[in-house]
Amino acid sequence: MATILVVDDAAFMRMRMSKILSEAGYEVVQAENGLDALGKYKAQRPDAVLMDITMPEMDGLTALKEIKAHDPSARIAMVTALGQQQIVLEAVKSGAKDFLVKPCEGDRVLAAVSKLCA
Amino acid sequence: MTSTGTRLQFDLDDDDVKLFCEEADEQLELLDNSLVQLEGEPDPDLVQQIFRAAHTLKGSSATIGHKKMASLTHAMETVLDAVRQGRKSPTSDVVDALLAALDALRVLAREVVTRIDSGTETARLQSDLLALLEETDAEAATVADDRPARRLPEAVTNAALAALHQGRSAFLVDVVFGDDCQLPSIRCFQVLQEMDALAEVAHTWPERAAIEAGGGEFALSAVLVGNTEEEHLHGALAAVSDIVQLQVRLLSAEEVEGPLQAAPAPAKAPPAEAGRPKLQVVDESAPAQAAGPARKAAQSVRIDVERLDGLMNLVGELVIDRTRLQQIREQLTPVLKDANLNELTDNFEETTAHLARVTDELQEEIMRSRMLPVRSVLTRLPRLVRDVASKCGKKVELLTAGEETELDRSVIEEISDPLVHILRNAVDHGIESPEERRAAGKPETGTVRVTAWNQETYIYLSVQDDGKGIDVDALRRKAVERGLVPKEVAEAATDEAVLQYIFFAGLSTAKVLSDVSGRGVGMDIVRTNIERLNGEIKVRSTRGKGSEFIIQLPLTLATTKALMVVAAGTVYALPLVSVTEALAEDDADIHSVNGRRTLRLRGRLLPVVDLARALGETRPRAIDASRFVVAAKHSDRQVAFLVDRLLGEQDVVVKSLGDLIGNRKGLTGATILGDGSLGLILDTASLVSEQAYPATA
Repeated sequence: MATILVVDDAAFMRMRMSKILSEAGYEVVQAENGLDALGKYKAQRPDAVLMDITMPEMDGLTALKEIKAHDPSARIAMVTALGQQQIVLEAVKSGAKDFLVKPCEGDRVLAAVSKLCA
Repeated sequence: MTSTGTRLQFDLDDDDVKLFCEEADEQLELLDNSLVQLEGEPDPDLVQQIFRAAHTLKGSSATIGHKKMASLTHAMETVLDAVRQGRKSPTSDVVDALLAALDALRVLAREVVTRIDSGTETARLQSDLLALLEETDAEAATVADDRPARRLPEAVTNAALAALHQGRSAFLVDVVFGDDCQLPSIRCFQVLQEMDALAEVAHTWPERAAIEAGGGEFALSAVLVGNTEEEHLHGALAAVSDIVQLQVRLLSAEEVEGPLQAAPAPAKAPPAEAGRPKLQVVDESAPAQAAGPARKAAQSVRIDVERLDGLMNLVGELVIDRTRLQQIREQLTPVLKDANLNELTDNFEETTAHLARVTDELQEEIMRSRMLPVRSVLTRLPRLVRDVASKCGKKVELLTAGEETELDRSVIEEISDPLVHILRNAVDHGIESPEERRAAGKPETGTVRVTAWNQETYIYLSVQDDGKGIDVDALRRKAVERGLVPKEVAEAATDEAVLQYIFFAGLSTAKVLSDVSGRGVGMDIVRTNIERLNGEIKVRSTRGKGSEFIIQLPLTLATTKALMVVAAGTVYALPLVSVTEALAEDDADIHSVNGRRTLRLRGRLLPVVDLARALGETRPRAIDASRFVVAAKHSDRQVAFLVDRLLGEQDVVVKSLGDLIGNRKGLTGATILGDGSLGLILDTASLVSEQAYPATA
């Protein structure tokens, strides 16, 4: 089964996402900020990434760009909240394949992930 | 209407509640600490940090389906976003509205635990928050929704016709996104990206530039030219999420030239999100600073306080055993040496010494793990000062220093209330109104400084204001009027001594501290609370310049330094903070005054009290041995206790009396002595109050 890297600084959100994904049979790797995500991406080569935007250390947009620079074929969906459309837009321009808007319903998460992994 | 008391359903199980609450508490605390600093010209990092806290709360509350909490945090975030982008300056109105929302959030977060509707109204708070932005948005609203006529510009028509002649195809694409699509502008852009990858995009409605700038809406139409097929285009575009209607149709030459068939109307007016200013300058890529409280918490482990207390108790036992072991070693060493067991003696000494050292370190480490920076108390103060100041119509700036100073968590818990009382008084009664201050040639804004620092085994907290100071003469007069101090004593007392009268019960501090009759908090209660912690409080004041309250506290309540004494065969520990002097009875200047034995000590008259008798001991004592006098004080009063022997100073581990012998008058606790016997810790405050001459200031 595919491995998904879940990046969010909020432990609760990470836990939710991971639960949804692992119940659907995905392997989940968690990272708590962009920098952490970059390291884990390089080390584990996940099949897809769910990337929060607002995070300390390194925000999601920077992490997206860094990961894309490292691996242009990286499949990344941004996880955003209302009010961040300009950042999401830039993320999509910078190679994000999709985005999810919080709160993320399980179905949407799974749909987005299966689309990413397709 | 809200339905108070109704059961609430949230989408999380019991295990998750703890995580949710811990994280929510962290964010709420962060907001609590930082919102007050938002006013004026805030540090961008701070704004970002506050924004992030609101944002995180919104995310988690929405996820568990706590709609009220999610929409309230969304409103807060909207305002904070405007502040962050410089569209709205953080005036006191903004901070007020955010603080009010924060108060409600705290209650809402609790609902996740109780699962009972608290009846908190959020609609009003949200509209207050959003109303702050109305002006701002009105200025920025330049949303022109004039959908262009669906006729291709002439140049595009000609290019498309030329392409058709070359055997390529022209397509009309109509895309509509669902009502629940949350960021249609981005979906539009994604569709545009997909189209760009497959064909030449001749024209779009809305125009390409608008879509690329994030101005896309719920519907998008485009004319494409290329060597592809309808099905292929359809398949690729359908990969974009949230599309509810997708049409890809081959266009004939006539259609390219004429008005194009009306596209499906946009599903509905865009939601509020789309009505917000379209172009946002958001510096999300700026490296966010790492050292937020949330980060710190993530690297620590939460330990139940009870577990720490348990550890502290166990170490207390160990300390006692260590002392006993040393005593045993002293007795044993000569015996072992006599028996020529030198190697065994050395080993034994080495081991006991090592054990003693490790025990000391262990005790210190555990003590330290119970220590918290005093910051957790200080960070609540800006809000308090702000509230009190605005209620009394004063301008006050609060400065704090020494937030890193650490003290035992039990002390922290106890010190908060007294500190808040003092601070409230400083603002309410110390600092003058802006008019008075101007008249006195002072800046309109008063300053209150709260400083914490360590010195030896004490921590000091000072609350200093630059207000009007305390009227010493009024204080002296009042104390005499109320019969709290004899006239001649009050008149003879120095100003510094008279200032301490404000801690007397029965002096209305409000009346004394200011001419305004107000809500004076009894300073006597403050003093009592501090003394209960084995602490002390003093005041200094200069008329017209301000006052300073200084609190001295022990670092920990778990151990205390005490003078060990023996009276009638029992060992007592007198907390060293209350001991002023100890001397041999024979050397003491003791006389009979009005039939009571009285000690004259440094110009003061102290009643001489037999300690054992004061504690209820009735057996007659052996008269032969010479005795000692220990002078002990409680605030302004002093008593000289007669004891049989002085054993010296010692750190004692405080144990509750209830556990050992049950509560007894005049005692606060007990301690186990080095030889395993029991020592009793004296409640000097109550003993001195009971035995002292009234008003011997």
